Order: sequence, then structure tokens, then C-alpha cells
Amino acid sequence: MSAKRLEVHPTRQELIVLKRRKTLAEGIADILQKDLELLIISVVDYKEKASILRTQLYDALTSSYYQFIEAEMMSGSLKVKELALTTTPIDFNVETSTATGVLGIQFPSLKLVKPEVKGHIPRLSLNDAPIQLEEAASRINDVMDTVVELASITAAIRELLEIISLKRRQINRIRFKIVPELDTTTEYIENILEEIEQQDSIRVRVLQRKRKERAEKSYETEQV
Amino acid sequence: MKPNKYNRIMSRIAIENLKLINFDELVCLIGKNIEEIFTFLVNTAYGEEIVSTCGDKVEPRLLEEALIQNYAKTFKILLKYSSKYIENLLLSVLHKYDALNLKTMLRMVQAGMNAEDILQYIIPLGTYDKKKCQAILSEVNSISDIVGSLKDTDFGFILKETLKVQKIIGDLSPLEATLNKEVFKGILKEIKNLDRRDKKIATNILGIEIDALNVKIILKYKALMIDHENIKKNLMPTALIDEKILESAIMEPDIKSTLQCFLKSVETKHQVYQNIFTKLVKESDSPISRLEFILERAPLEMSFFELKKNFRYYNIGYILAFLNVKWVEIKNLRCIINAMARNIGADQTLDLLILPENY
Repeated sequence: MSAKRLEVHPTRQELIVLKRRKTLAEGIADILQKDLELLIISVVDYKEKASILRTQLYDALTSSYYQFIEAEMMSGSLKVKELALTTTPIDFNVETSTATGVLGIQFPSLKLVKPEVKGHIPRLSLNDAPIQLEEAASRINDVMDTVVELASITAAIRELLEIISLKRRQINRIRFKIVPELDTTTEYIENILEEIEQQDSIRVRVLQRKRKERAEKSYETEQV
Repeated sequence: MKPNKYNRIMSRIAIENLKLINFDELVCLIGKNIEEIFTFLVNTAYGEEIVSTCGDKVEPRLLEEALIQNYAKTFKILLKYSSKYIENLLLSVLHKYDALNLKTMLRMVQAGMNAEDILQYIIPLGTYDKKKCQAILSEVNSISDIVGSLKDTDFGFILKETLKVQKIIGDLSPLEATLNKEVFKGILKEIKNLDRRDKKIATNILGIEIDALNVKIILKYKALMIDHENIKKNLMPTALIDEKILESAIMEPDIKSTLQCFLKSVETKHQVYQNIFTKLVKESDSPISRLEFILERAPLEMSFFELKKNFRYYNIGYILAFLNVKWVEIKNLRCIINAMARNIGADQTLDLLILPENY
């Protein structure tokens, strides 16, 4: 599909302006491309970090879940359900702030705020609760930091992906819209200017010929 | 105790013993689906309870309930055929389940649950059955209400006293510990009423359970880093492992040295204790759950040991060993049923079954 031509006067001045604009657009596209590469590298880094955290989280949750089942097998599902229903829940809080990352982009930063514990008091009954339940609960408590860190990284990745898509759109707009438009317009002006030049030269040649013929005619009449 | 005191109960024990499921058959149940387990159990001593509890609906939870109902029925039969001292001892053992139901009520009232929901978690064992619990729960809204409603019962006074001196409001652990202590004190008191040989056998079989519980509490303390004073308050009355040993074990810096301290103190006292603690020391690097599992097996080991040691038919060991084996059977069946419900592999299930050491 041919690019749209800009509405400009086909003058030499406009041609110079268009060429300058093209050079500038290509420069901006290059800068944006470099930013894009940097952002992609950053996303890959974050993705690796997230993947490690996700594996850690998956392992911890799987083993906690297995311990929970083990507790059910040892003490019965009814007892485990009873203990789970009667345990005081822990109130976690998540603080949100912003952190400056690659290219000065502001990322959302999450931080887990755990309630202060004065001395270790077992959450479950010391005599009745199977240790597997305590172990599972404390493992999940430990892994909560990882959950929040993973959420923070996921938010950063989402932000980066949005910026990457924006940059990519900008580059594509320059490369596939603005530059072709400038090229088409430049070509059009060049064609017009060439045509005008050709017409001018023909006109000059006709004038010259006519002048020559007139001069020859007047010389002949003078001789007669 | 004279043999004639055992005349009626021993024949009952012999009959009930024949109804126990063979360990091989039990292991064969691993990996089977719920229908197969149901079909197998219907043809055992549990059949009647399973049919009446499950009806057309076969669910792991209902099967679990039926197993406990059967244990309650067996206990009732044994009480019916027992002579006075044996009956008193069995009743004191049955108080363990009373304490369990009371603790359930305390926890659930504390959590703000309604009476109907709480009754679902009451096990049909002991004197605090669903009917009695419903009567208690119908008039209570708080922990002090429950304690007040128990004023005429075995636990009433001691719970009231504990509640009076309780420092942290809402902390149920002192009440729970009091209930457990009272139960085990009762058991030890009833053991003292038996004659010399029976007293020794009963102390060994029931005492190892109390000692194992104390060791479990200390191991939990080590794992969870609870402060010393708190742990001492939760310890039960002692049997073979006395307070001094428990205190020195608490002071040990880590789990391995704690278990070594226990081993050192019991190695000359009893062979079963020695075997159990040698195993615990060997596996001291394993997770606490594994150590707890070894301790869970202790009453069964002791029961088999006492059965081997006391050839004479008329002794309390047969009765207590039967109760232990029956309870272990129920726990194993419960383990298999829950493993099936959660799709746990056969090897992992087998690891969690309480089986005799040489199985």
C-alpha cells in the first residue's frame, strides 16, 4: 500500500524541510529502538527473577500442601478442619510505593508488613495439633514475602510490557507511516520540480528557436 | 488382680481381638477406591456403623465417623464386662476423648461458631456425646459460660481455677493443658488402684503414651522456639520420664542433644523406651513430623512388648493392648481413607501407617 502524501507546496524549500524531517524521524526511531532493546533486556531479567521466585513458591506451597494432607491422614480430616477454623488468622498488610527502574520508569513496589510477634506463641494447640500443620503454616508464613515480591515483579513486568508496546507503536509509526509519507511527498515534490524544470527548459528552447527564427527573418528582409 | 476379676472381660477381649483387621489386609487397602474400601469395611466389625452412618452416601468423612462410632461401641462393651477397678481405669482412659470434645467446644465457641456447626466436630466417644454437648452449647456464648456450665462435672472446678488465674484473655492453651493434665492424672490415679503386676503393666502401656506426649511437646517447643516457662506449663504428669529429665531436656540446645538426653535417662529403665529413643536419636536430623511419627508408634510397641512378656492370660495388659491396637487400626484406616480422598501415592501412605516394627 502506497503511503499517503502530505499536503505541502511542491517547492524546493519544502523539499529541504521534508528531508530534514525525515532525518530527524529516523534519529528518533533509532533512539526509541535502543530504549526498546533496553526495556526488553529488563523484562527478560525480571522474567528470570519471577521464574525463580515462582519455582520457590510452587515448591514451598506443594510441600506445605503435602504436610497439610499428612496432618489430615494422621489426625483425621475433622480435627484438621476444626483446628483450621479455630485458629486466629494472621493479618498481613501490604504497603505500596513506587520505585524508579530502568530509563527512570516508575514501578509499583509492594512490601509485606507482618504483625509484630512478641515471643513465639504457637498458633495451634500444642497438644492436639499435628506438627505438620504448624510446619505447613510457618512455611506459608515464610513464603508470604516471596508472594509479595513476585507480585511486585509481576507488576513491574506488566508496566514494562505496556511501555514496550507503546515504544513499539511509536517506532512503527515513524518507520511505517511518517517516513514513508515523507518519502512519498519528497518524491512527489521532486517529480513536480523535475517536470517544471523540463517544461522551463522546453519553453526556453522554444523561445530561443523562435527568437532565432525571428532574427533570421528580419535579416532576410533587410537583405531584400 | 485375681483371675476371676477377668473372667467376663477376657472372653470379650478374645472375641473383639478376632474382629481386628489383619495388618496385611490393611496394607492391601492402600490405593483402593472408596467403593472398594467401603465394601471391605462393611464385611468387618465396622459394618454395622458404616451402613448406619453412610447409608447410600459413601464419603471419607462419614467413614471416619463410623470408625470412631465403632470404637465407642467396643469401649462400651468392654466397660459392660469389666470389674470395678478395670472399669474405673477404662473410664479414666475414656476421659481422654471427653477432654478432646471439651477442647473442641472451647475452641469453637472462642472462634464464634454456632452450636449446630460445633456439633459436627464432636466425636461420638466418651461421656460428652452430641446430646450432652448440645445441652451445654445451648446456653453458652463465651468460654466462661462453658466453664460455668461444667461446674458439676469432673473438669468443672479445675477449669474454673485455671480461668481465674489466666493471664492472657482469649488464650485457650492453659485450659487445654489443664484438661489434658486432669485426664492423665486421673489415669495415673486409677493405675495406682490396680494390684502390683497390673499396675506395672498399665503404667508401662499407658505411661508411654503420656511420656511420648511430653516428648512431642518438647520437640515442638524446640522447633517453634517457644519460651521455657510456657513449655513447662504444658507438660503432662509423668510416668517413666520424670520432671527432672524433662527439665534437663528442655535446657538442651538442640533436638539431637534433647533426644540424647532422653535416651541416656531411659536406656537402663525399659527396653521399649530404649528402642524408641535410639531410633529417635538416629533420625534426629529428620523433620519433627517424622520424630512425632516414631513417638506415635510407641504405645503400640509397648503393647506388643507387654503381651510377649506377660504370658499369663489374666492381666490388664491384654485389655489395654487391645484398645491400643484397635485405636491404631482406626487411625490406619483413617489414614488410608484420607490418602485415597487426596490421591496420595501408595508408598507415601504406607510410610504414614502405624505398623509393628518388624512388619
